Amino acid sequence: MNLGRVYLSHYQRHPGQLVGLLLILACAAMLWSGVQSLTSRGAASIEASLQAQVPVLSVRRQDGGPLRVDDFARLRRAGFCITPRLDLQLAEPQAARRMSTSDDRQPALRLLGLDPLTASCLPVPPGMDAASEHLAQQLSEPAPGGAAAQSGGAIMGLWGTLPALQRWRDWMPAMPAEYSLHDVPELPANLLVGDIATIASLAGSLGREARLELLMPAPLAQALPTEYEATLYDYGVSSVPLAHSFLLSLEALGWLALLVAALLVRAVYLFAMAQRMNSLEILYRQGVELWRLRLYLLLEMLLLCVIGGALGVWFGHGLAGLLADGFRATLAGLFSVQGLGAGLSAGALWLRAAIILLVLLGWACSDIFMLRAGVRPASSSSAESPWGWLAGVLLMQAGVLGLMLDLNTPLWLIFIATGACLLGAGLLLPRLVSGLLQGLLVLLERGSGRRPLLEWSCSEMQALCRLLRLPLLALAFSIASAIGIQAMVTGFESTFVRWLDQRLQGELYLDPGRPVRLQDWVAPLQALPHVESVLPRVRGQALVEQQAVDVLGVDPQSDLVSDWEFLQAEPQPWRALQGQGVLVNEQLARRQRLKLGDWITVRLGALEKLYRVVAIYADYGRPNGEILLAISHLPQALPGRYTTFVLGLTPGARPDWQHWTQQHAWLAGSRLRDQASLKSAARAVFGRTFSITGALSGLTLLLSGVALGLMALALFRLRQRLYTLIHVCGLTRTELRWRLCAHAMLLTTGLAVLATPLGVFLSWVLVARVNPVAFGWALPFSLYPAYWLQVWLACLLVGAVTGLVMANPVRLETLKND
Amino acid sequence: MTNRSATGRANRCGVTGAQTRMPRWPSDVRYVLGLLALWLAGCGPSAPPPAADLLGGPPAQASGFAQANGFAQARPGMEISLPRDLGSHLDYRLEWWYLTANLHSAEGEAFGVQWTLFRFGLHAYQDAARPAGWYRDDVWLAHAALSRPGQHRFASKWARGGTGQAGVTLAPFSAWIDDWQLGADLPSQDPRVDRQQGDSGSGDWLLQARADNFAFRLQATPSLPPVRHGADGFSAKSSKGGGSMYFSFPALIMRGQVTLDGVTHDVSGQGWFDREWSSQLLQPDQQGWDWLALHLDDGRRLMLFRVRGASPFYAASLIQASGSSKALNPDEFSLQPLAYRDSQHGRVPVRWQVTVPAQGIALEVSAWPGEYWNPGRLRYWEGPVDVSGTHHGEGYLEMTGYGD
Repeated sequence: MNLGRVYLSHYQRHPGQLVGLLLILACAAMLWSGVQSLTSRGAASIEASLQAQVPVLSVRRQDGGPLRVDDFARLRRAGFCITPRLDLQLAEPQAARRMSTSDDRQPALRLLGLDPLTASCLPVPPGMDAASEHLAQQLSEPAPGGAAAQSGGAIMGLWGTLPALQRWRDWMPAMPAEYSLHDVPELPANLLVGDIATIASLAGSLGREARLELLMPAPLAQALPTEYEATLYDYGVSSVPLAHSFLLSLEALGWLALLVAALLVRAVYLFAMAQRMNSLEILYRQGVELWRLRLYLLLEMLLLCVIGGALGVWFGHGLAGLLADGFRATLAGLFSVQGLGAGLSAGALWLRAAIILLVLLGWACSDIFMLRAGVRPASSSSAESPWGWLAGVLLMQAGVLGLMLDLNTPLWLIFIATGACLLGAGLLLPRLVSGLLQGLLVLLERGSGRRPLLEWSCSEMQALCRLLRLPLLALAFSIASAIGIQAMVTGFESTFVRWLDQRLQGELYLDPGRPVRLQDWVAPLQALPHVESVLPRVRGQALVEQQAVDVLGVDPQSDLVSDWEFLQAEPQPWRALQGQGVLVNEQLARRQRLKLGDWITVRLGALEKLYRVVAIYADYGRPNGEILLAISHLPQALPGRYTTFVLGLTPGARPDWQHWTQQHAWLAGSRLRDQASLKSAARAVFGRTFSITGALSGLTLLLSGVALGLMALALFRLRQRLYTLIHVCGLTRTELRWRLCAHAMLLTTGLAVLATPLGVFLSWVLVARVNPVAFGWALPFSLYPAYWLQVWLACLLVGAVTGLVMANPVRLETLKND
Repeated sequence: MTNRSATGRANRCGVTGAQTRMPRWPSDVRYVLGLLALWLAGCGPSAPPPAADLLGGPPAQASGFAQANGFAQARPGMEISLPRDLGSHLDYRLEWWYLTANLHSAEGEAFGVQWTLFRFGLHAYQDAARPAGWYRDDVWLAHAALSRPGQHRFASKWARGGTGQAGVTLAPFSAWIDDWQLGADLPSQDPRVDRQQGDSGSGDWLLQARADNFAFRLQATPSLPPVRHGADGFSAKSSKGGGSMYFSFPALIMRGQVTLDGVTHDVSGQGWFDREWSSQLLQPDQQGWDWLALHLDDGRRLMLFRVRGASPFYAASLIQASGSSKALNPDEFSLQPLAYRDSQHGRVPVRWQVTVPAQGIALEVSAWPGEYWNPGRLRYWEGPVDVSGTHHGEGYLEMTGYGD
């Protein structure tokens, strides 16, 4: 008989085992390749934005006047590599809004005019490269006819994402058809790019002022003419290390899934080998050479690896596709990295997955070479070696020490330390369960009156614990990661919601849609019906100790800031703000190691002053450093100065604010939103951020639950003879069945309870160690026992299902030889 | 002549060229080219790209485009008036200001310099006094090159018309793009200069350009009056019609500095300045041209070109040391390649035989060793030459339409 067919017959007898192995391999490959695909695409886009974000200088006139074309020509003729950008903001026209069924005003559309002839002065902005490629494609296959003739051969093109282009069509239905529109998904939302002449003529035909910016690469090679000054326009890359950390976190989750899968594969394979040992022995005695037996086993593994891996990579591609939107939104929302890059090709991903699966399988199948070599497979050793305890304790100690290091520990070291802790726990946990059961057994034996069934149950569970060590460990890791991630996400959500409530006090948010003078707006706003309070907020840019930061200016006396909570604060920080006080956000405090009472040099445009840190506040959702100052301290010429307002309404009042912009001419072009919808939009962004981690931990838990069920099923079959003996000794089938079910439930639930501290430890690592490095801020550490209960119940269910699928534990024919 | 400039222009404005090169170029260049293509959408899907039209294309289609966009055509009988015609011709599709110079340092090292400013009209317009703004009417392009035997450095610059970043003024004469410029400098103090160039509108010119690894700053003094080529300035490019308005300052006294890889050399020599404008140059069956401008040691100058096509078209001008000039009939001179060189872009003729029997001229013209390609899809060769035979001398050779 052909050896291959003999091997195949094993899986014909145990199709569940084959399905289980393939499932685990496919799931592992899916999780890993999905995460790899996403992170490599994220890394590619970070790389692109890194290239695009070399420091850029923006030229300004010393007299404060707007820049004109003459300034551009003058500076170019003086030898400066200057490129212009013409910025035209289009608000949603009234007509389009009346047509809309939604109350929400859409954000303004930004039309950016570039000069391709001088654009090479600066690196390619993200998405623009694709725009130019797209354009080239379009021009290589010119449409017949066209509008060239009407416009003297000048077809004006606009490039943007489909939604942005759609808004352009909706908002400008009367625009002549000479604007050819091109879809470039990589461009930021709300942005349309076109030639500078196109945007200029558009601004002219709409009667709108477009703002001219003159940009040049830093540093300055020579001094600018005295009428001009250069300010930093784009500070570049400060968020990139954070974005890298985020990717690393995600990848670590992928590797954790892989570790769980490795444990499972090894467990399943060891079972399969245990089952096949007898038939392999017979084959050997029949004269089949040992090398052939090993070779065929290896080939079998390779085949499994190829099939499982291919399925997994294919599924992983789908998984990455499902998660891509959330991932893209996270990168854009948190780190200002626009779009996803190309990342790894399918071939490269498949090759990597194959190599990793081979390593994984190599470990799982390492016993193949010990076949008949006199070495007993790991799972069959019953004696607990003291080295296991020692190694576990040492690993945990080393890991905890690593995590206790300075707060500036790099993320990879945190992961390694956490990995050491997990490995240590993995070594200790089964021994701990086994030890507990052993202790129980001893207690029972010493107790008054023998309770043989209980003793049998204890020793049976001990045996199960030993035999199912690997899948149980995988389950424990999954439980721990699920608990850890849930704690982080829930902690984040609740903190974030509290923080949003604090930051978004007041009922309405007003964006004037253009730079406005504060004093011109406060009084008219207060005169609006039902408006009780007006809190102006001025945003801008500043330098703190030569580092770029955002500036937020508020009125410290306003009621709308009175409820702010701080991470740390001196008494009455708002009052101190009127003097030389400054509030800094957590990100800036961490980055520059600021503490209360520190003096910092703040440069606000041409103004430089010393301020004292009087409070540190939480600022979730972005990596930028920020300082908060009294509005009266901000100069009119603050770089990037932009004013918005928060309006507090009379309690219970429901003014018709949606129509204010139509009723009051001075409000035309501005944007009003109720804070509630802003909050829900912000929550949606963060919901997406953590959908990825939630999905990963959920899948890992599911995978280990299913694998444990499959394995337990196989194990019960192997031990059927033992159960039948118990039955023969007088236990009814139903009693035996319930007892086995109880074993499984006790074991999984006990494991879940024991894994919970590991989960709590993981959540602490995530919240207090990983988060500050990956995201730039720390979260309060909270415990969520309600969720533990859910996980324990889930484990109880896994145990129950595992026990129940063992429909009939008694098979009398297994005893026919006895 | 300077059909040559059309080549250089076509290299970059030609939309097709931008597309085909794009995949091989670094992303920033692709970006610029892509957006350039965006900008040049004015070259239009429904209209042939201007370069393609200028370099060939059915005359009916070409003139159709030119008419649709309001361009004027160069015709026999048109007159050249100076200094007016040193300025822009906004109703023509293409024009250039083209200077080449053969220079020598005190140590005897030879240098060649090329500086060209092209203007490409996307449609004709007249309002030269419009306010500065972001327009889509024309594109300016400049080429600068510095050559030594076996070495050729090249740089280019782009600009949009209407902003003031590039342009030409007449009083005083100045042609510029960014900080590169050719224009009026101090009045000449050189006693060798014959003050006949009154209609050039200026005294000395200053030529300067700066690139990453080379630069030049030279004073150029016209020592002979301008020469109108062809039929009183109309220079035919084909027996079927089509041509350009073309005049030259054939003798410029050059002095100044060239900088190569950070080393500055004091140099002097002689230069040649061309001024040409047209809306259509080549016929569909014409592939390119070979052009020579030579300074002979007896003070005479020669300009010759051959447009290669189904039947080659020849033209030449002979300028006497006194400044008087004469357009030569094809049967009065010969221009034949003698030897070819295998270059990175194909085989090109680098040794030429030039004869004007009635004038006692029999020359062998040899390009310097090396390659003198100015890059671009329709790349062209622009390099110095040495002259031997009945006369010695030097000059420049331009070749277009060779290679892949």
